[in-house]
Amino acid sequence: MKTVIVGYGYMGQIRKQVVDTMPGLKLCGICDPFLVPGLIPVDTAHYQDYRDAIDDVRPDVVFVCTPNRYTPDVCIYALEQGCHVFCEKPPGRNLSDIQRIIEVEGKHPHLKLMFGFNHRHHPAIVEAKSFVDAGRLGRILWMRGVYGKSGGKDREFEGSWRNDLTISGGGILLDQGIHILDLFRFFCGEFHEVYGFLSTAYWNVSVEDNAFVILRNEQGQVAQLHSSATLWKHTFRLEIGLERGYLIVEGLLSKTGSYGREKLIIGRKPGDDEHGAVGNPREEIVYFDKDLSWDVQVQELVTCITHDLPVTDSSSLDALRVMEMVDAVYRQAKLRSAAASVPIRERRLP
Amino acid sequence: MKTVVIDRDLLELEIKPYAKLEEYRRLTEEDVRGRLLTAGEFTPCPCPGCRSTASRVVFEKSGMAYLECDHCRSVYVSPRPLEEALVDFYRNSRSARFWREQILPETKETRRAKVFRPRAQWVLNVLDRYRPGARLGIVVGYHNGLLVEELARQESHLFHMIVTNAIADIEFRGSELPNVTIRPTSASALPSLGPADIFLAFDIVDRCADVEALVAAAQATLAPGGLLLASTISISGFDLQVLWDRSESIYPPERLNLLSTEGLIALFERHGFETLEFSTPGVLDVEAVQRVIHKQPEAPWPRFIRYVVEKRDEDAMNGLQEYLQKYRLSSFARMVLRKPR
Repeated sequence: MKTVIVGYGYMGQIRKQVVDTMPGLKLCGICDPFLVPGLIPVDTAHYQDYRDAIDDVRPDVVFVCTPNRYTPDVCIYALEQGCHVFCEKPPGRNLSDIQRIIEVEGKHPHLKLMFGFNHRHHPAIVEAKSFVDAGRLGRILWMRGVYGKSGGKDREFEGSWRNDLTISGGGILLDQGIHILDLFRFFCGEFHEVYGFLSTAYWNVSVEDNAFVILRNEQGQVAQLHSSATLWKHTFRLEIGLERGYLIVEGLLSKTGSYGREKLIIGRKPGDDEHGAVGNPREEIVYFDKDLSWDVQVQELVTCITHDLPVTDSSSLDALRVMEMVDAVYRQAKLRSAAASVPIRERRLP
Repeated sequence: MKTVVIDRDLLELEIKPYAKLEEYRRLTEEDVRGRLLTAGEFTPCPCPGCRSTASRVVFEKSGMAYLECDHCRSVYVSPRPLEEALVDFYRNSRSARFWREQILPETKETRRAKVFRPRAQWVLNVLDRYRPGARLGIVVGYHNGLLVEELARQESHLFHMIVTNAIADIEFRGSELPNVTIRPTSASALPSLGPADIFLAFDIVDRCADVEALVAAAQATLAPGGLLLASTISISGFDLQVLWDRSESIYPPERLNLLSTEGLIALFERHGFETLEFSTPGVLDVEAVQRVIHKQPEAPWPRFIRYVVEKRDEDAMNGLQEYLQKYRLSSFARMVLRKPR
């Protein structure tokens, strides 16, 4: 299938590596208005305008790896031109962006649309899901996630499009925290109550650099997220508390390795005959050395296209639901801001 | 590929009472010299890991020569007795009876709680992850009674298991487990029992006369996508590398094949298996080194190793053991391998 990548920055280049090794896909064009000459693949047509790329190549599949502001327009144009679409997360800047995409998707039911919630396919997450689904540790009681980075060099980070509200639509919650929100849904299903606090605690940017979100679903499962751009040590940690044990995913296989070696810690609630182990159960730690998440997701899309199967993993519905969570937090933040945030002590005065 | 680290409080003494173990080793030595060495045919073999024939004798135990492979660094006995002689040894020798009648009963409950219950949990987790809905398992290797019991206890809707080792009729005498069939079967006849979803080969790779035939049989017995779970002692582990010929864990006929990590990977890849897990979750390496250095203080041990095990506390020993597990450097190795779909 002829493939075009729109947006050839960090993510676009990762996607190229996947496309190059994926049977069934052939990279026929890339598009980026700011293409770096040395990075342009040999023998691949390149464009500055996504419409030219799609009109000229007439691809079967389009990978959308653009900054958030351009994501919905590129997705919609590709769908309207009859292309299957793989779109990076987030699916735009806000809820209305994904709603627009879904509206057009609905008019082209034969086309496949998938979003890049690749963390579902990280090996430690896959392993944890297997434990949860098998039910040997009982049902999930709660989840807690921390996902954060240090930002980077001051000027570089503050000048990034990711921190320009008009382009990104949000800060660290929309950029990274969205993965953990997706994982909460992946493990626990829908959440109906969402509460959040945002702060721009350190960086001189127009978006939040920290987000604290707490959610609850109809089964009473509570999940808590801290998403941060001020974690000076890069951190990924997802904890799952279950009736008969716990699972902790820590570290994340990544290009730079800065999140640490990916591992899954499995703890089992000690049995009644293990008095000495109460509060300090034996643990197993599973270390992983290969991240296939990028390939697995794209392979899934190719399978859906080839066999005309519905996209059930990282679908537009998944994207919509997670954007509803993000939107709820952003709306609450705006309301609080409008109420001019009164210190707690002052409010308690009669 | 993944690797697993296990935090487990197990002392060697709990599963191997030293006084009885000394007696067991004495009987084994006598049986090897009096029974195996006189049993007849011995056959030379290439490296059971990588099949290289380039090797040299590195030490001798009970009259048998241990060779080190120049290529993958596995250590193995060659020439070696035939499988029939080994079966006779495990069925009829005094040492084998002593193990079954004296050591196993005394350590049964500790083995159950600390070795076989976690192993059964692991088997079930592996099935959940890679082969849910498994219907048939083949069990090879000796002393799997507690494992089979624990599997049956933990999983009420267990897959059917066929226990095939040559002395299974002795080991399982009087025990009636649901969904378990006892059928001693030679390696060459194993495929007729398949196609199986899972092939359990615990603590057998190190002691079987023909590893190549065993792994080929596993391959032929498994259904496409079926799983081979294996455990063995590996020469790449800390205690065997440090202690080498002084190791109390190296003795014939139970340790004919001490494959290195590289040798193990070569063996299974040669038969088309995909390695899903390669772990060395052993917990006894440091303790074994400590004990032997204490018993033989005059031996030329590496100065750093001697210093660490003599001068550092239990916390440091535990930390070292955890390090060995994390970097696949313990001498107890386990693997999950998948036959191509």
